[in-house]
Amino acid sequence: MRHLLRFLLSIILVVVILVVGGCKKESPKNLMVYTYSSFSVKLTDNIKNHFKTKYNLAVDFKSFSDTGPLFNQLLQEKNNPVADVVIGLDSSYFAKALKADLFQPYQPANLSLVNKDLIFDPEYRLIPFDYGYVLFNYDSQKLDSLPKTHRDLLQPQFKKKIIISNPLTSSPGQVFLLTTIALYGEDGYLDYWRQLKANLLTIAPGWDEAYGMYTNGEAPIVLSYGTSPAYHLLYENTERYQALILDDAAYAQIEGAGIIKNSANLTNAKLLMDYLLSAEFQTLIPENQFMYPVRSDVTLPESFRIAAKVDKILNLPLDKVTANLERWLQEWEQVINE
Amino acid sequence: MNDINFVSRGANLGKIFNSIKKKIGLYSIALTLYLPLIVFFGKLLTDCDLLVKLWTFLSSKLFINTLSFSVKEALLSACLSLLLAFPGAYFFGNFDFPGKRLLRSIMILPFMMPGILIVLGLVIFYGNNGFFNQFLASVSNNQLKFAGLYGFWGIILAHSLYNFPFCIRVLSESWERINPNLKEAAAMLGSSKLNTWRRVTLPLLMPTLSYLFFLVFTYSFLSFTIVLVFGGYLYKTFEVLIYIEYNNKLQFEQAAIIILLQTIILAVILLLQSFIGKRVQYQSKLVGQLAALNWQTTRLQTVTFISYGLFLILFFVSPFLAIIYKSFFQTEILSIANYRNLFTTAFSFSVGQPFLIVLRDSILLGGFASLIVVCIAYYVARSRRHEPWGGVDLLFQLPIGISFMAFAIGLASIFGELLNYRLLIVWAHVFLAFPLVYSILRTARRELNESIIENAILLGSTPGQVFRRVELPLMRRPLSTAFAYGMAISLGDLAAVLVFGKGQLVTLSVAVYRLIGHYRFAQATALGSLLIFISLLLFLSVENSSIFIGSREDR
Repeated sequence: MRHLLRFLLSIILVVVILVVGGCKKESPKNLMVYTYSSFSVKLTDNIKNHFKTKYNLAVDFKSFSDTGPLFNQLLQEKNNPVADVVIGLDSSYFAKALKADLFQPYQPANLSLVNKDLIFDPEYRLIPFDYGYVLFNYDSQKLDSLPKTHRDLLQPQFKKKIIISNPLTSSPGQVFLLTTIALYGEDGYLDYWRQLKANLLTIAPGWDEAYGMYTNGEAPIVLSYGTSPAYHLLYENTERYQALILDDAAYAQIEGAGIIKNSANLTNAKLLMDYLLSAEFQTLIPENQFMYPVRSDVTLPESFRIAAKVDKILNLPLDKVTANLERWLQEWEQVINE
Repeated sequence: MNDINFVSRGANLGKIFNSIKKKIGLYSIALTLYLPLIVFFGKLLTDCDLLVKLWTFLSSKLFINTLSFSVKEALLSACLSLLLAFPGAYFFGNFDFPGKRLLRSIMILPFMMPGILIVLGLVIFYGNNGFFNQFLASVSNNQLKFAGLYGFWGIILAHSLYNFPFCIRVLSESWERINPNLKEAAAMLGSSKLNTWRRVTLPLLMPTLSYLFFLVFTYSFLSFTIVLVFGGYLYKTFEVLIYIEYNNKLQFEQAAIIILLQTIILAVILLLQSFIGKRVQYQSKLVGQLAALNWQTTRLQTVTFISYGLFLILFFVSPFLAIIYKSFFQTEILSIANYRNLFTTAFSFSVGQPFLIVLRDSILLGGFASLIVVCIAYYVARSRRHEPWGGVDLLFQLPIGISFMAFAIGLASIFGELLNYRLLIVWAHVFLAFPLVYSILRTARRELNESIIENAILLGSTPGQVFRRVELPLMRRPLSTAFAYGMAISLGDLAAVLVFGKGQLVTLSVAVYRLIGHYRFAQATALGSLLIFISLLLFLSVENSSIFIGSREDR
């Protein structure tokens, strides 16, 4: 009994020390960056170190669990912002972010080196820093005849052989919905989904579940990213998993960053935006974030030889997506539940 | 303290004063616990259009569909879980056999597994390419195939699998506590076995049964991942709707309205449960010595038990074993590479922190949160020891039925910037663990023989001495069990750490998710297995202490 008490007391003591130690108020000069859980820890560490050594400036990161909480926080702080910069907003939320008027325009140095097709905001409030393709991957040990087009996926031989993630709960899922609209137009995409339904094994809530099922051999085709095979090559030294490029085209998922309106730390925020497009940071992106750098002059690592190379980017204009996305999702849901 | 006042002059006044003090104490605890929710709903209720919006949603087809699916799915899951648990609880509650302690500890495991591992376990075992289908294919020459995992029954299967072990554990404990004299008395009065069972045993089990039914119902009603993964696109719970409104459509108000509605529905169900399962006023001072389940004397029962056990292992425990099995394969060859890799820089790279730090933080957090929840819950249980179950007790059960999102949003909006993130997580864990911990301590404290304490006071011990020397040692077993549950809930939690940790705190569950995000599925199964192992140690140590300190002799 006494041992137990002593043990518990020591636990309390340690935790109290930890809490008190953690309570130290951060000095207001620090740059505050909001990001969310998909942004690589290695990259946040790199940014911290870079600013510490070069400018003797501390950068604090707050990583949100999901877009909802991040947005809610930004809206609550709109008149009295805490964050200076947001990094990692993915393209499905650009429209909502711009509508809510949360960011201020800034043209970082090196913006001229960024691939023009990727700059989606003509007013430069959100700046792309990396991008990837959302497309199907396949298990080369399980699939003999490869589909060539998105239409080929409708053939009965792929019945229950495809796993996708839900457009309502996951961003790759949403990008795939946009892919079908880009391919078949507003008149044709629902028909495509009506036929695709029979070939889906399941619609997983997120990428995690979908990809986990795929690597466990539940189905040979999964909706993922064009860079997924590079992971397997880099860490497992296998080329078993391959990207499946259909119609020689794919939708690009772009990740953006921007300076919060009324940021009290504007000069440093601009330095950070510049750094995101610097050659140093852009080179780190491929094997840390597993996305493509937006600067086309950056050389890709060896593992990216297996990543998808796409001829045609399918992206719809941002204003069209903004105006219609909610309706598209609703229509999609109806068709799926038919 | 109250008991001493009782004999002094002016006892009545003191008693009233004390009871008011006690009430204020209890309500302020409840208030603090619920503060974030009060803020959350308070904001919502000041909205003038609330009723209109609520009505629009209530009259939508989406609401009707979601409600009817959730109720159906939750009812079936609860029935199946209890049905599966019932024979097990009978054997555990009536017999002693080797390995019982270990099995009991194992039963709590599904509870603290991260959802994604439950999903992977089911897929590895029941999936198209899973062990079960490989077995079927090999015995039937590729004729037979189990495809039931995807669809409505897959959801029920997953929920039952997740909940039934816990049901066995709790139900068997309450079975054990039935006073054997009651059965003997009934037999002597000429009651048949069936009659005794119907009139004595079942009514005594009823409160626990109905509580468990409510618990499984609520967990299934609030299910998210399982419903989406196995239901594909056809099925949705309110939790799914809330997620879509909040995270995808960024319609925070609509999400709040659905949360409000969901809370009301589950509160009504909680009230119904407490109405049906009124906890009987029953104090067992005598617990029977359990007969050994052995081959010679109870042949039929032993055979039944073994076949039941095999059935459970084959169909319900295997998915968990499958995870452990998988954790030893990084490639096609059996190895401990996945475990060894936990200590490499590749781990810290994917997860953000070295393994040992993650382990230390998880244990510290769990221990601290659980200590707090046990202290508060015990205080409440102690001050309500003379009261029958009801009233405030129901209020303390409510967190089970409330979407965590509501609590998190409320907490973040009041204290998000004021309190250290570690405190916020601890607060959230206290909230999450409170219902279960409180329910364990409440029952145990009420069943404690009050006369021992009264005697100690009469013999001149001070209240402090009585508490330290008599009450604590007697309550040791339930207290340590409650501690283990509290810690397990904290270890298994993902939401609170993700929401409040802001990426600065990584626990084992978070690490599992981060590994998966970095395509390291094999390593995630290893970490998941470690999580299983730690929790198992935790529960084994609890069960051990209860054997050594001999609550059995006390009986």
